Order: sequence, then C-alpha cells, then structure tokens
Amino acid sequence: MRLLSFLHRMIHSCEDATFLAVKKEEGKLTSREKTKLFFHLFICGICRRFVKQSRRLQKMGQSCHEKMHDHPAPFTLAPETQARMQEEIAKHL
Amino acid sequence: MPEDRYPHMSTSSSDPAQWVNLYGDYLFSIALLKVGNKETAEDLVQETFISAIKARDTFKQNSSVKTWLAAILKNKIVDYYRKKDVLKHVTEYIDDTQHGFSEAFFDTGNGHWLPETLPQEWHGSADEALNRNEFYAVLQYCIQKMPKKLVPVFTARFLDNEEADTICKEFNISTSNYWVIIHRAKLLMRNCLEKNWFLQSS
Repeated sequence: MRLLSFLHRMIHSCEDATFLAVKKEEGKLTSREKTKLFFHLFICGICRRFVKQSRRLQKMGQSCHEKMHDHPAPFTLAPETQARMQEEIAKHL
Repeated sequence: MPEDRYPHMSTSSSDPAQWVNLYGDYLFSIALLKVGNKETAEDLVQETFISAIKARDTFKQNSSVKTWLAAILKNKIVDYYRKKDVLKHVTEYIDDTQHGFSEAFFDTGNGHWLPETLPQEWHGSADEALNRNEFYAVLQYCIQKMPKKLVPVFTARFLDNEEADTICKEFNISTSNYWVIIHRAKLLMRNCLEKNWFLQSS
C-alpha cells in the first residue's frame, strides 16, 4: 500500500512533471526522470499541452530576437534620448 | 569621411555617427525586454555605443555591426545584473518561496494543476504574434511582472537561447537552482502570455 501511494504521488504530480518537461527541453534528463515523465504524460493531457506550449514559447523567444534584428524594432527611443546619445557619441569620436 | 577614419568598417552603416539612427531602437528593444526599466535600458544602450567606439578595432568584418553591437549590449546586461547582485542568496530565496510558489499553481495535496492555472488551448499563431508590436508590449509586461531573481536567467534562456552551463557560469549559480528558476519562470510566462495574449487575440 505504501509503495502504491508512493508511486501514485510520484507519477501524479503535475508540478514534478512540468519541472522535468522543462529540463527535458535542454536534453538534461536522467533515464529515471525520463521514465517518470513518460508515465505522467501518458495519463495527463493537461501536462502534454503544457509541454507543447512550453516548447512553442522557447521557439518564440528565439524568433523574437531574430524578428527584432530583421524588422523595425518594437520599442523606440524618444527623439530627445536619441539626440542625447548622438551628442555623447560625438564626444567620443 | 567617417569611412576613412574607420577603414575596417567599410560601409556608411558602420559610421558611429549613424548608430543611433540605425541601431538605437533595436538595442533599446532588447535592453528593455531584459531589464524592464526604460532609463536603465537607455543607459545600457548608451554605454554600448561608447564601448563599441573604444573597442572598434576588435570588430570583425565577418559579422554585421548590428550583431556586434548586440553582443556588446548582451555583456553589458550580464554585468549590470552581476553588479546589482540580483542573484545573491538565491538558494535561500528559492527555499523561502517554494511553498508559496507551488501553492499558486498546484494543489499541494494531489499535485494537480489548480483550476485557475490549468493550461488552456491557445488561439492564434505564434508567428503572427511576433509581427505585432502589441505582442512585445505584453511580453515586456510579463517579464516585468516576474520576481526579480528569475529575470536575468530566464531572459538569457528565452531570448538568447543560451543553455544551462553557459547561464550558470554567467550568473554563478548552481544547476539545481537554474532548473528551479527556469521552471518557475516558464510556468509564470506561459500563464501570463496565455491570459494576456493567447486567449485575447483571435
């Protein structure tokens, strides 16, 4: 019984599973952790959704940097700040 | 001619006098997302330009000026967080807030998601989001709302796509603390973007 309840908790914790899922994104799971995550995801659709969304967010972060590099920036400096920077640069040339 | 003064920087876009116009907003956007404060972000961009002028001999032509400036800014931001000692006592911080954090997302009895934090199905595409300035404002809001100790590590992972080893060295934290920070930050970020973007847009 004690073993069963231990297994139950081990497999059923969404908190633990999301922790392992995040670790897995960087390929840092031990085989024991992999098994634990596998069984949890097998029974938990919500955490499967979390896994997908978390990966998607990671990709978004990367593309976000690329987009900012290749397209007009989302945030802009105020004209007076630009002027101040320009002056400061001129001092160092 | 500026080009003659910096012969190794061959195009006019490499003229430091053009930097504010050409790269100011780009660098400011990165800095604002990473430090969350307008004045600090402006200062870091300013310092980046000055350092770049001083270090212009190190510029290699095989990278673009824009990428080179972004790399200098990245280091400035790491230095800024180190100097502020944001990650001081991070282990104690994690221990002290562990219970509260778990409770905010999960039923501590059975370990399941709480009804209010349960991940929902998202609407709208991620690619489309990234083309809209409003998305970046939401992103910035969500980063700013995060506990301060999570931000430097999370943004290095999320925006620069750096990996555990690099980030742990950069901020001098243990890998176990790294995973806790990333786990918490991702739960918070996922939840915040869901509430303020993915369930809002159609």
